[in-house]
Amino acid sequence: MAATVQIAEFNGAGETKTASITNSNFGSNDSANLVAATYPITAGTSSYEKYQKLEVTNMGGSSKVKDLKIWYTGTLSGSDTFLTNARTTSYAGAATYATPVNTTSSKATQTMPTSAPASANLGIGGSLTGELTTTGLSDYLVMQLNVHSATTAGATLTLNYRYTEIA
Amino acid sequence: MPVYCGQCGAEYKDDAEYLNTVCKVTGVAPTDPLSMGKNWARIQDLALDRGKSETTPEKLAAAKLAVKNKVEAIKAKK
Repeated sequence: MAATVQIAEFNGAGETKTASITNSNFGSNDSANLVAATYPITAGTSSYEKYQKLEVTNMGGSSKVKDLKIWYTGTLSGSDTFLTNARTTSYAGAATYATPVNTTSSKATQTMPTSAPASANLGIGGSLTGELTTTGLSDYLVMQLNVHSATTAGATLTLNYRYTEIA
Repeated sequence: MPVYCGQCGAEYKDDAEYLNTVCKVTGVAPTDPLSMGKNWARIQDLALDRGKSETTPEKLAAAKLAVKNKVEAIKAKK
């Protein structure tokens, strides 16, 4: 067989975990699987940060899961920016959790790639060369959408999470 | 840390309880590949292919056959 992998999101001051999320909609609320139309982001402001992790719930007989790559496809609205802590160089190690904010993120400071990066941009155990050899989680993926003051409508993007698995 | 299932919204006291419970929406436990969604087999196949240089052809073939067999078993049930 092969590994079973899901995406989990973490929210709130007390940190709750929502496992196996169904979307990564950004909004003016700190919650998982949010409905964007219910929590629109005012032009000229930022979304709440998102803290997510890739979670292996079953190794399925494989020996390793590694090489995590995160990027988006699609087109942002106007001059909006999509930022993250994921990066292929100068990785700051595993981000620590803090209550998500809708002010400028101090962790999501790198532009989210628009194509698959050549090497891992999200770590495991604080390292881009880290590996999961049993069930567990990646480092936090921190993301934030910054909506430009001239933006009048949102956009639908695809967020891609890629991993490599060693049978 | 409390854990909520992102599929059905059920609350669990911890990961262990979550991982051992069948979700009302997916119909499987979170440890079952089907919990990854309708493209689970394709996702697993591609992930295995990306790691082929670090395993033996035999292990890779066995893993991919296991995925294929699960797909066939599901089809046979329908």
